[in-house]
Amino acid sequence: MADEIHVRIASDEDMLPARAHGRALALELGFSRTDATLIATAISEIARNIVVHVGKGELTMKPVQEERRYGLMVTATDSGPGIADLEAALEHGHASRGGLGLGLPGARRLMDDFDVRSERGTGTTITMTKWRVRDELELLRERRRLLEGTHREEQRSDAPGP
Amino acid sequence: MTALGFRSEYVAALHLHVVGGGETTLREGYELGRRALAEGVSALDLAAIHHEALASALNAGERERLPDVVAAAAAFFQEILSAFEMVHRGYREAAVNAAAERRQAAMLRRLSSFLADASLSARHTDAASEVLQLVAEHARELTDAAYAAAGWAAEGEQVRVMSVDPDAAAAIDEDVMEHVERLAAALPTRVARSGWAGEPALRALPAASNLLMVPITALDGRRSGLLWLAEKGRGDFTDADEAVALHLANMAAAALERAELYRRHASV
Repeated sequence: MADEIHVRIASDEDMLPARAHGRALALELGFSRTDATLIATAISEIARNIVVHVGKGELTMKPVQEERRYGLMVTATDSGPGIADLEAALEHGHASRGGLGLGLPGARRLMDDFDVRSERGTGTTITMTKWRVRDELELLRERRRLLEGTHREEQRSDAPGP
Repeated sequence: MTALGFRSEYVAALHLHVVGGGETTLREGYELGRRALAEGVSALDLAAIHHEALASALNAGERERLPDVVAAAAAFFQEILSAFEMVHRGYREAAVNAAAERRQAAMLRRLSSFLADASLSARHTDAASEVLQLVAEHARELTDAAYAAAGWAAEGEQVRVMSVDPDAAAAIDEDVMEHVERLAAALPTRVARSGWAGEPALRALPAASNLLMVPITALDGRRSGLLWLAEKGRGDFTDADEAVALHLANMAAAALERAELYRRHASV
């Protein structure tokens, strides 16, 4: 499985590699094109949030795996002033954008898990994950691949040495 | 941005994307979608503009690569609509929340009228048991918990009730209820699923779960009982669940005191 990807965010232009890496990782993990688009959009929104409100920060993207599902986890960190009213920021976003529900609340609604830790004067860490449930067929194929792998290993260890 | 300006920008951006775009042109699409939203361009207008832009790209000589052009245009259109998706999910969430609030208000009204009846039962323990049962059932439904229990003691009398979701695997017996009540003071108000293992006191409960506990406090400030909920259907108990449980525990306390006053009055 792919490794962690780090993207430094200091301007609007940095949104581009963040989106590209996020989309590529999503497709690699088997997400549909629609979900990959939603992930790229959520990444854009939190990257924009960093640029507009803090100036700079970092995005980390990594695959996470559980038995029955794959996930793409995005973590955004910054050392800015922190979010004063977290509940309002998550519910309505920034008032200057007309309260349409873009920004943080928009990203929260596009992902499955969304967590914000913010401390005044220390900074903010946003962790968000989108999950893809692995169906029975996929699990069956994986078990078969693993079995075949073990089988080949056994054959190799049984074979007489040179 | 005029509608005409938006349309020509869209045509140009889509054309760039279908002749060999990538993340750069997709991002243009995402930005255009966001702008459309801010400027009040409707989803129907967007669909019309998109198809005009696609027709224009095909007229501009991309006809030979029809399948590629259509696939690229579809990806572009998804980018445009992703901003609308965000907003749409917000409206849906607000509608669900509003429906939940209406349901909650209706249930609280119903519980209030039930409690007025229950507190008039002739025997004090019967009244207490009815009050606690009604409160436990409403608390369980309002917080989407599998189990709700309430324990209450006053003047040598003790009442324990339990409400269990019919789909729950097993009921919780009286010993466990007593165990939780005994430990309540030492436990935090809420225990999340992830924190369950760190609370050995909870071993007596059926399975790794989550827990919410609120005191039933008499008017003189004395703690007369405990209302607790376990195993929320989805996620962990929230601030809102705690507020609802506390409100119900206060309703129970008031009804119990009223029943006690009624009993004293009747016996004079």
